Amino acid sequence: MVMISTADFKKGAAIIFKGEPCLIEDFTFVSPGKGSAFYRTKLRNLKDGQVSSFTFKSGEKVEEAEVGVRELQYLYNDRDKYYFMNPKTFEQMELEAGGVGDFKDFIKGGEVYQIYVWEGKPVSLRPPPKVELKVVEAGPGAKGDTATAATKVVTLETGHKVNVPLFIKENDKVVVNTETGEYVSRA
Amino acid sequence: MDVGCLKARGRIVKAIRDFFDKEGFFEVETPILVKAPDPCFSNEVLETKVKFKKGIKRAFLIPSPEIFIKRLLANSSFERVFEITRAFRNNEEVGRYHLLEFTILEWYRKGKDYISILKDCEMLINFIYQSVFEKTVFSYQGKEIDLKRPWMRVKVSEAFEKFAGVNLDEFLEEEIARKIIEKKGYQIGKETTWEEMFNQILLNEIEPRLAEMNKPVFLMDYPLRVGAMAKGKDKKYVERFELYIGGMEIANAFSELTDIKEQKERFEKELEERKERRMKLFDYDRQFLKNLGKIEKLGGVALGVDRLVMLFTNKGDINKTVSFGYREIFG
Repeated sequence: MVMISTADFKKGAAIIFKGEPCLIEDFTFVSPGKGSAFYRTKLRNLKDGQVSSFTFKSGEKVEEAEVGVRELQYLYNDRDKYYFMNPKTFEQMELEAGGVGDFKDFIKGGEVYQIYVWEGKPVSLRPPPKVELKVVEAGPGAKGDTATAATKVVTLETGHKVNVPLFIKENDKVVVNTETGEYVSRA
Repeated sequence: MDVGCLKARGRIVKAIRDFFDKEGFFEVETPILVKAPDPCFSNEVLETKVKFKKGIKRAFLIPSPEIFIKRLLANSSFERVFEITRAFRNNEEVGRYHLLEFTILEWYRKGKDYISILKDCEMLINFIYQSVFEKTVFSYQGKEIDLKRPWMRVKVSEAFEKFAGVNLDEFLEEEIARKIIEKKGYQIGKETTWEEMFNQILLNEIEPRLAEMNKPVFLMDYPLRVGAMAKGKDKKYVERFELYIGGMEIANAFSELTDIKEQKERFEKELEERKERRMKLFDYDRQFLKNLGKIEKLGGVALGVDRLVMLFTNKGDINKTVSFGYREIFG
C-alpha cells in the first residue's frame, strides 16, 4: 500500500478516499484565518462518477489508488452491466451500469472507450469530451415557430434525443458535448 | 494579463477611496518594512536585511498593516482612518486564493466595535458594486449573490451546531475536540493542534454551506483560541467576524483588543507556538504594546482587495486579478 501526502497531490492522481477509488479532479491550497495550511480538493468517485469536495489538512496521508486506464471495445449491455472486450486479447470484461453514468446516452456498440481499472476490475468509463453520432430520425421542424430559436429534436443512433438547428437532416453526423449533452456542430 | 479585469480593479479601488472620503475617513500610509511584525499569523513572514551604520539588522515585510495603524491612531487625534497597502504572507504554496504579495484594505473607528464595522462592510461593498457596475445582484462562478442589506449573521457556535452537529462550547476542550474529530473520521495525529481540528470542521462542514447562501454571510464570535487581536466577548469567545461572500473569505474584523496585559500574553503565546513549529522568531513590537493603552475602544477590519476583485469580475483564480501573477513573476 503506497501512501501519499498532500504535498504529492496533483490533478489526475488517484487515491482511496473513505474506501472508494477517487480521482483528484482539482485542488488548491487554502489557509484559513489565522493560517494553518489546508488543501481543498474535488474528488471524483471512480465507481459512480459522483463529485464531492474535501479539504485535507496539510501533511495528511492518503492511500494511493492503483488505477489504470484500458482501451476496451464496447459490445452490449443488459440492465445491470455493460460488456466490453479487450481488442488485443479478446478477453471480455464487464462494468457495472453506474460506471457508465450519463454516458449511457452516447455509448455506441463497436466503439473503443477508455475504461478505468482498479484492482484488476473495470470501475468506470472515462467519457470522451465530445462524440460524433449519426442522426437516425429528423423531423422537418415546426414551421413558422421561430420563437424557440429555430431548433428541432432529432434522434441519434444511440436512441438519445438532442436539440439541433433546423438544417440537420437524417443521416447527418453531429458532434455532441458529453458533459452538457448539447449539440456542438455538424461533423 | 487581463486588461478588462485590471480596469475593473482600478475602478474598485477608486470606489473604496470615494466611499471612505464620503464617510469622513482619513487615508493613511504606514510602513511595510518593519522590525517586529505581527506574530499572530501562522503563515511565514518574509525576511530581509537592512544595512545601518551600526550594522546589519533583520527586517520583515508586514503580514498586515494592523500594528502600525494602531500605533498611528494611538499617537494622533484621527478618529477614523483607512489604508490600502501591500502585505506579504509566505505560504510556500501557490493556490487560487492566496497571493504572496497582496492588497489589503484596513479601516478603523475609534470608540466603536465590530458591529459598526459590520455595517461599514455592508455599506462599502454595496457602494463599490453600485458605483462600478450599477447593480446589486451579481453572479460568481455560476452562483447568484444578492448584496441587498441586511446580510446574514451566523454565530460560529450556531454554525457548528446546525451544520456539523457539534456543540462548540464542548469542542473548546481539547480532549473532547479530539474525540469528536476522530469519531467524524478526520485524520489527526499527536501534533494536530486544536486550531487545525477547528478548521477541519469549519472547512469541510461549514464553509461549503456558507457557499450555498445567495447573500453575504458574517460568521461571528470566534473562540478565544482563534481570537488573534480581538477583544473578549466573554471568557470563551471574542468579538470577531469573518465576512464570506460566495463561500470566499473576504474580510476579518475585530472589536480590537486594547488591554496591554492580555495583548502581551497573546503575543507571547503566539511566539511560543512559532517556536514549537520551528518558524522564524522575532520580538514583538514593544512600542505598540505601550501605545495600546492610549486607545480605549476600537473597531477594525482587514479586507482582501484582490478577493473582492475576484468576486466582482467572476475570476476563479486570484492571480488573474493582478497585473502580474505568480507565474509571470516567479514562474
